[in-house]
Amino acid sequence: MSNPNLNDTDLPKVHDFDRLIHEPARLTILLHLFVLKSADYVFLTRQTGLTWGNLSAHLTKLEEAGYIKIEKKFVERKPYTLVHLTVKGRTAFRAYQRRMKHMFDGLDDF
Amino acid sequence: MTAPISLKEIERKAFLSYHQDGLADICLSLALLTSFIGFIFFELNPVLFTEVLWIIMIAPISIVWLWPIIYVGMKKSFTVSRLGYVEFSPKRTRKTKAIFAMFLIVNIIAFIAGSIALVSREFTAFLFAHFLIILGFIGWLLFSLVAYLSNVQRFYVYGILTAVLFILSFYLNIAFYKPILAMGAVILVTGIALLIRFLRKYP
Repeated sequence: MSNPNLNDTDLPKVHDFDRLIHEPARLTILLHLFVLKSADYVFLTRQTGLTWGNLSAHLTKLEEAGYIKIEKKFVERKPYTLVHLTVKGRTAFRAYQRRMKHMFDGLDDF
Repeated sequence: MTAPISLKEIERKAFLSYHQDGLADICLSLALLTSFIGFIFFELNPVLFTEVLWIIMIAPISIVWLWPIIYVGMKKSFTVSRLGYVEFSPKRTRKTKAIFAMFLIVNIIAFIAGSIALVSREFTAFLFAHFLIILGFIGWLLFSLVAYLSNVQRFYVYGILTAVLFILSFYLNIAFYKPILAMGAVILVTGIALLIRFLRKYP
């Protein structure tokens, strides 16, 4: 563990969070992709409020991790760059969701 | 305080953002208006307009099936070009199919009711006596179901408006096509307003 003040009994599992998903912009992207079958770049920029470059950078990271798949597709002779969540991405997101829920459900007021 | 993240809410917002262009309202209202506007001309001058009755009344009704095609075309040029392309979840697709199935069921019921009316005088008399109330109820039911399945809240208002207009027409002895035209006009104005807002938001 990088911080010597923390140990497994003090803050269990905090360091186990999937940092790739935990980043706010990527989490927003994944939240949208989780509830949609697929979407193109334009739709994702509109929904997430991210700039084109920012979205592209985050999508590349998610694609490298195998969480999403980006593919060019022709829909009625028009080309679209469609993004969709892979099975690995869906499983990782579910695991992240469970971990977060489990972590904060038991957190009391101090 | 920040509201908790809801996946249902995210999906609902994404879907609604795609349907705030007012195009469904415009196409629905134009289908209603073009189908029934001929009655006004006929009422104004029955002699003159009997000659062109086919053009002003029958032709728009016969091309009513064109409106869904026009809607899809408008959706592509107005909405997809501005908001991007999206494929919604299978659950959402099932709900959309349920709306189409619902209209099919209503058509079948109307056909059965019409067939029974042909052979049963009492039933025909009942239908004629309560024609506007029945139409108002069906309109309210259809709009409410569409609103429930699509999450587009303004369709609840259209449903209530339909019921109120038809019931008022029943008690005030107003011709059946007038509430339909009034409803079409209200929906058209709403649709145009929504489209203008949409085009301003996404130029």
